[in-house]
Amino acid sequence: MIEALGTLNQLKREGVIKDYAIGGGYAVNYYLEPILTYDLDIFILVTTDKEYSALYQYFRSRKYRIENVYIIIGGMPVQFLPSFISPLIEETIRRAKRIRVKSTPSKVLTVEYLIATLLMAFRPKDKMVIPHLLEQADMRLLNEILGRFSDEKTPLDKRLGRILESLQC
Amino acid sequence: MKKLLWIRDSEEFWKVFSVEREARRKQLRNLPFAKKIEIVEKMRAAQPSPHGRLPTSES
Repeated sequence: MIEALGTLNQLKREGVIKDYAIGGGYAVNYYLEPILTYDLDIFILVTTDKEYSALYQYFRSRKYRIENVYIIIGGMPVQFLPSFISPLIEETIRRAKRIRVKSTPSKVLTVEYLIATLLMAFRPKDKMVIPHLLEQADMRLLNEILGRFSDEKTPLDKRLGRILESLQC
Repeated sequence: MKKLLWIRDSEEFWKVFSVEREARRKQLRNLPFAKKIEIVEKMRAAQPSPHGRLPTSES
């Protein structure tokens, strides 16, 4: 995992990506107790398809193993989620929290943006961790984020409402 | 944990169980991220990967 972060920092230095942040299960692990996580979800700041392809080209030319959507870095399957798929992703990266893992600098989604991205995915495993993350969230900020990024197709605010209702049962 | 072994009343058992579990979760939650990563990597090494052939960092 730490080797993967070192490689991501290298990608940033070489200008292959503008920025990145840890999301998904490892970001959940940052805030909560450790849970089994098989892959590393990395949100990357890229603006075009061409930049995204260049990233895969970078790894291909250096003989990294690529399996389905995963690039294997130091034994860790890494999935890259480009910012152009949603303005929410772009904002999550820009507002991510700077951290250090041992001596390696990195960025992790803030808890409010992490919850917003989990509400986007809204799989059973996401629904299970959201109530625990809410304990650490600034609800005013979270509601403000969800208000801006909710739409008919992805009603983030309504999804959160359903989770909060289920907690009252 | 020891206390739980001696409780015979069901309601009391779950009350103590919940308190102890919450304390353990809080303790784990407060570990440094690097330590949490180590724990997750041990879990990954002990479980078959859902990705099939994909290796863990310890393989």
